Amino acid sequence: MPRDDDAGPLAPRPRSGHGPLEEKRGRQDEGANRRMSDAGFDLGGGVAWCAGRDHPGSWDLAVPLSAVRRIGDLDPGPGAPASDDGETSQPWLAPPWRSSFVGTTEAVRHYLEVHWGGRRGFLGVPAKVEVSAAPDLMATPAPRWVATYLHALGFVGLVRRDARVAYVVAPAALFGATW
Amino acid sequence: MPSRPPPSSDPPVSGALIGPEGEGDRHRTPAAWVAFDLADGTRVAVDAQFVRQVIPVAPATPLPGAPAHVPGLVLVGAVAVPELDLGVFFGLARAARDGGGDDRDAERTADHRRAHRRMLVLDDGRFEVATCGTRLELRHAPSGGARARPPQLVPSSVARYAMGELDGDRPVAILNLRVLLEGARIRAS
Repeated sequence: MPRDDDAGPLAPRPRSGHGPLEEKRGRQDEGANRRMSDAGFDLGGGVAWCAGRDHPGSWDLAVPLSAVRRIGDLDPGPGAPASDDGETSQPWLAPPWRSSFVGTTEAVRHYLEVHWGGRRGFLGVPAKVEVSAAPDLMATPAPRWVATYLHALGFVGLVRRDARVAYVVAPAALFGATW
Repeated sequence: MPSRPPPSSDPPVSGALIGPEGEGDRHRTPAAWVAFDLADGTRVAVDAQFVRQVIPVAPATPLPGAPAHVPGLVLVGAVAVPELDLGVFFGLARAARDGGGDDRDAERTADHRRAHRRMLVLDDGRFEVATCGTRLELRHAPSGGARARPPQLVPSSVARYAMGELDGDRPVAILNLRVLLEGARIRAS
């Protein structure tokens, strides 16, 4: 009788009754790429890969570089950093998932200056930010119901780099706009 | 623990009890079940045709805003699939990410995950999830003790999603995967 250390007949196998698995997988791949393309995001542009806070519930965020004007360190003290044209009162962006990503305000150590549709704002990042070029990134499909859930939160899809996964945000969603 | 009824010599129950996984196979009796343990030791089984893969336990990337019974996404090949923590969903264990609460629960869940080494990738044709399990066992019907009766001995929170129980050394809840996944899936608010 197969036990825990002997998957035996439970090893990966073709499945009958729900159509060819590979065909389904292919459709998911196409779907992931199409959603990213529809949102104006091309992996060829790379992303700012923002690591989440050092917490078991944290997750990584990928912001398309086409929308990132600047990446900076946050000086201690209140208020938003100055934009590169000298303005000082740019808004902190507050997408609905912000507290899940950032945690407490004190945890913000870096920022992205993000531009979209003539608007700009700052996105706080709790841990390190790295620029990831396209060759290191893989669009990662997810089941449709997961993609729908992510879409509602403002995420275009998923990318992975090595074994890490990041949620790709639609820049418009950072500003509370539909996309 | 309630006393167990004597082993039944009746033929396997089919049709209304075991069959109704979906519209297309309402009267079908599964050819086999995959049984496995949850973190608290509750033993459950699913129709083997919905077990697409068994993979080593993979780390989960938390999913923003997801309920506690969805610890995150795991990579199954190149695809990100949600993990479903059945113990948390059934209210049998606290989510590991919750931290506090009953230390024994958290410790047991963590130990269970370390000990799992296996995740079942379940796919009912609409929803795909990965879930951890130990002591995996393939049980064929009608031999191998795969006789079923209405759920009686499993916890009530599990029985709600069960179509029946398998005979064996201890009760095994046969999960109605379609109802379970519909109830457990995440929804955008």
